[in-house]
Amino acid sequence: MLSPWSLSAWAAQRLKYAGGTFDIAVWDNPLWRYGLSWRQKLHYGATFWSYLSGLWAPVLLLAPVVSLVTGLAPVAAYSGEFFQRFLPAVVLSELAVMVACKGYGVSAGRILAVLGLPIQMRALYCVLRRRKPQFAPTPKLPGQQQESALRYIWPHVVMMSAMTGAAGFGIWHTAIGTPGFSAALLWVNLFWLFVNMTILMRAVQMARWSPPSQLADLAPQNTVSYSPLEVGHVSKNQPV
Amino acid sequence: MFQRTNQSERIGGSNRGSFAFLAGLVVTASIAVSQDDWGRFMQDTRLAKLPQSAARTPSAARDLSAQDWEAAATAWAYFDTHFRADTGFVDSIHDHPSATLWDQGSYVLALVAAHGLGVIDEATLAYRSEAFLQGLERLPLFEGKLPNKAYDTRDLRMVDYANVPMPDGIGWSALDVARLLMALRVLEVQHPQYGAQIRSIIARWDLSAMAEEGRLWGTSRADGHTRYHQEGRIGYEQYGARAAALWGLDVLAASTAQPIMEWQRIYGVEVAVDRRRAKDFGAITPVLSEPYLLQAFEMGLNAEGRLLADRLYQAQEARARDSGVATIVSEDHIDQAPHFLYNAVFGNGVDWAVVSEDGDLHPELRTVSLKASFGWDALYDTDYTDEVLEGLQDAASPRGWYAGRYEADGRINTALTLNTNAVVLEALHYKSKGPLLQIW
Repeated sequence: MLSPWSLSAWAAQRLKYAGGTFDIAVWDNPLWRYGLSWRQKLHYGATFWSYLSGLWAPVLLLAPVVSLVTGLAPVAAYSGEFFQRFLPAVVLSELAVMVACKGYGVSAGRILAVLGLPIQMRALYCVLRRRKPQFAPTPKLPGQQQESALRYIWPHVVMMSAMTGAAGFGIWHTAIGTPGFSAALLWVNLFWLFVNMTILMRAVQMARWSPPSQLADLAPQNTVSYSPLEVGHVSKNQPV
Repeated sequence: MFQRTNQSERIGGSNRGSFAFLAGLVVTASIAVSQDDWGRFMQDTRLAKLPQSAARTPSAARDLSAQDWEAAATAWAYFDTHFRADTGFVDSIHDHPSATLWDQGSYVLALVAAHGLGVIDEATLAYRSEAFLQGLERLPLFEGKLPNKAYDTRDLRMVDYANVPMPDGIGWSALDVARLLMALRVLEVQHPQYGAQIRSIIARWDLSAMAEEGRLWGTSRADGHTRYHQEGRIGYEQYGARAAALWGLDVLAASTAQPIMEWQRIYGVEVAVDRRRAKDFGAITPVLSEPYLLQAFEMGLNAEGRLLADRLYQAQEARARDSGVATIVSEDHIDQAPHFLYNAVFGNGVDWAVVSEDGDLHPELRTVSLKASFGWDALYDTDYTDEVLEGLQDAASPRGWYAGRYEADGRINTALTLNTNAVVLEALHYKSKGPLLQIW
């Protein structure tokens, strides 16, 4: 079984992927190299691009929070005019993704992408600070969650708390009729909050998951100790 | 193997999430669109039908009676006794050194009307006009764009409606600015020697800030934030738009009531009311005499205005015939709390609503409006208007006309205001010479 079996293992693996990707993207970018075909460059480009989502995805995730706290809509338009343009674009893009995935589920990848955002940001930060990424092997054996799961999911918990607070704040100010707040603004932002929180909730679910006991029993005493969010210190206690 | 069940179920489950997301998005969009009344309203291209039936023709200019001349002198007495020589402004209300631009517009129009009638001489007109224009020249502007909603008439400081100094101002009223623009246009058309000065005053203002998408936009400042909002409801909006259009503003959409009106049957008369109901759009929507009378006296009623004004007048006469109670309603100050009321033919969803600015109803405080009585009499000169006006002759004072009479107990409403006396002068000028702007 090649998948990570614990949250720490998953985080370590993600950090390696992201760190490695940013490392070559920033310091040794194959897009500017001779010798690669355009198809290869396109694939590299798409990979770099997807990892850069750590820069703007948090903005999109938190936009409803800003809206519900300030009463400001990011777009100034009447609802009818806005959705007339917005809906076709989003519906078609969603359908296009489903078709391109040939019927395979798209949600799992999307959820993992969102949950991995803090790790991507961490990796980018480390690479920009010129810390050399380390490539410790991911433990491939089942193991119980060892370290406090909160260490990996605190950004998600903070975001969910902010979202819950913003929802309450927005509902209250719409109810008392604060200028700028309207039912339309409230509905749209609550919907996005719901969608975003449904994804973020999976972080909690993930932290609570552990392998079925009959498999965990098969695992040897796990001696691996990770500090996966500290790139550069990962390799100290490698399993032999 | 493991807990992952078979592949096909996993795939189906995942895409169910996508479909649920899309369905949720569509539902959310529908709810948002249905809740966005203003957006739906602005996209609604429905126009009210204007019936082909001929509207009453306004009466032609005619000679004033001895009683009219006395009435004009009484009205001018207000401006004689409430003038602030230091600023050139006139107090809006007796004993309250405060003014809105709406009221100062009324003053300038009263000044031109009084001069046109011969109530004041050339020297008085010149002295007053120069003093007022000098006041306008040094008027502090809200955010450097347009005049504030209210000023202290003693020193032209920006104030709130309670005349408390507000160094940053409280916003501008597009309708108030529009009325002053109307007055300045009338002044320069009737007395071209002030044209250059008027234009240099207005050049300092950012008039484009109050007009957008064909409608009038006001601002309100609270808690350090300035908010823009569409301003003007049926009658007032068309009056303000026609006035602002005289200076080339983008207000064409607001200059007709057809996109925003519907017909409401009141005492058997189909009266035009505003579809932007107060509960949905957060502004009261009184349908009353004032804006139609002003339009008539200043620019002359256009075809739509004639029809709407006629229906409005008919409904008021019908109520009087039916109930035996004199009925001529408009916006007026009263001599007790809440101090200012809109006496409407229809307002906030209620027939004959008497509504305050914040939407409370005060039916026990309905008054017969003196200025509107002079107004309808000048416009239509019917037996009914003669009768109502005759019944208000005891509302004169040495300092001007009182605002009207309470319907409930017949007491005089002793509020003494600039607007009442200005409209009386405008009405008498109209009766004698026709609209102020028409010099042909």
